[in-house]
Amino acid sequence: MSDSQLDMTEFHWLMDILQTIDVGLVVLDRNYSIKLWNGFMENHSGLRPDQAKGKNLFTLFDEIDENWFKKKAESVFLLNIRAFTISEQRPYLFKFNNNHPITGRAEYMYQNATIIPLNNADGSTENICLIVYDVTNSAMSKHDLQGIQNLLGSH
Amino acid sequence: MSNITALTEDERDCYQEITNVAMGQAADRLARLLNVYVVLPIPNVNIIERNEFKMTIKSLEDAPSVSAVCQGFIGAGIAGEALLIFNDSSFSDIARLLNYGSEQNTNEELEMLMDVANVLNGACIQGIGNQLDINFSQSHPIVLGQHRPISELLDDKHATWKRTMAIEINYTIKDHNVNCDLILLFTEESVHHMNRLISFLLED
Amino acid sequence: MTIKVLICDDSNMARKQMSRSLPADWPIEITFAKNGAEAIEEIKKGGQELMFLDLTMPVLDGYQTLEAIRKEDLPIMVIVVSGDIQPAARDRVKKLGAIEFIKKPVDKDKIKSVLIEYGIIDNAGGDNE
Repeated sequence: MSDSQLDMTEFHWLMDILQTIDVGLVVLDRNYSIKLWNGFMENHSGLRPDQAKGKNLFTLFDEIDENWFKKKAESVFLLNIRAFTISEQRPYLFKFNNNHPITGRAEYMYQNATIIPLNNADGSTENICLIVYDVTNSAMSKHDLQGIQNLLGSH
Repeated sequence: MSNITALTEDERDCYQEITNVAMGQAADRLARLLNVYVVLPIPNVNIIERNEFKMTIKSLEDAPSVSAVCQGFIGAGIAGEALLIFNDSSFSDIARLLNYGSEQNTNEELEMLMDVANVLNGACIQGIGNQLDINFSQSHPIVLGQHRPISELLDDKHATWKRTMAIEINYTIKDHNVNCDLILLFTEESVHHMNRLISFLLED
Repeated sequence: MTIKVLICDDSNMARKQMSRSLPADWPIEITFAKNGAEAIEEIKKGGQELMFLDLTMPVLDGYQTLEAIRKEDLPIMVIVVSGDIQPAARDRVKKLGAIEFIKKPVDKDKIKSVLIEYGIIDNAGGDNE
């Protein structure tokens, strides 16, 4: 197998992995227009890639606080650093349903998010990638633990 | 969106047949993993109200102590969970089939529970997805509990849903004392979408 | 000549899917049965030549139906069509006298090739008799 064939195989593997992974992946451009929308985002939002791509993130998802999100994202564009948000700040970025809709107690999916810069060849950042993690489980456990601690503290 | 309180005879038949094919694929994988013959029942399809949920699940599996794993799936507007309930008396036979030691601790039992859940849940979700042409996302499984009465595993007080479509499959293994229930639970909204998807299968 | 074909499955949808998957230009007369007992009754009336038989059914399942056919020496060719794709199921129905096993969901091309293989239809799609 030649090197270029190998690269193509790996490329297809990576595409499969990105489609299937239990993590949301969204690429945004400078105007917050959606450039990439993986399987997790498609399945949880109900929007196919052709319905999401090219659309403005804040128009499609008005639950995202535009000012809040831009403050985090602009630093990624400008400073070429990563930004992290945790579910304690805001329980979610995208209002998705709980992944366990019947046995679960949470009303929605708690999310952590990472925003990473995607660099051009010249080092400038024209695009960013938003990575969304489902942390409902640990958020609920933490919630339960806090409840117990409060109970103990009050005695 | 109107409530779904019952399925038509055709709809029930269709879900039963789709499940039949999916669970056959799941059983085939389990049979190959354990080198056994898995006995396939006719699946039960029902719409269940939340207040009947615990009772219904309890009536499916009347063992005093069970272990359970659930896994969410979602795609094309259809969301639900695959719930695998394991009769605790099954563990010694499963251990032999999976070549685990003769004495099991809770940790090893968890390994076995996950081994079986990965095969049955995964193959069933995939099998249903294939027939409906949906590539479901699957969440990480959650252990609802080990060695507990079934009523303690399910929390229906905090639930927000009203009804669910439950498809129950009782798997047993020929010549072994292994008994588990795979219950597919679909949200009410999903049933609307699915009824539309299957309508083309039901056309004359 | 028209061939009489029996489709035995407890699911209405499966019966429909099966009848839709048969070669379009094949001159047949289809009868449906909802379980093995109904199928045996139809076969005993005479004239049925080929049956597509499901395995998991109430009243009389596919295995029991095959046993009954063998015991009573009923003259019919049986192709089992089932979602139970475990090798043991396939072996068992073959031992019980089924000529072939086709997995669900049924595939038109697979059915056609089986019918050709057993000389039930010729390559052109019509029947041989």
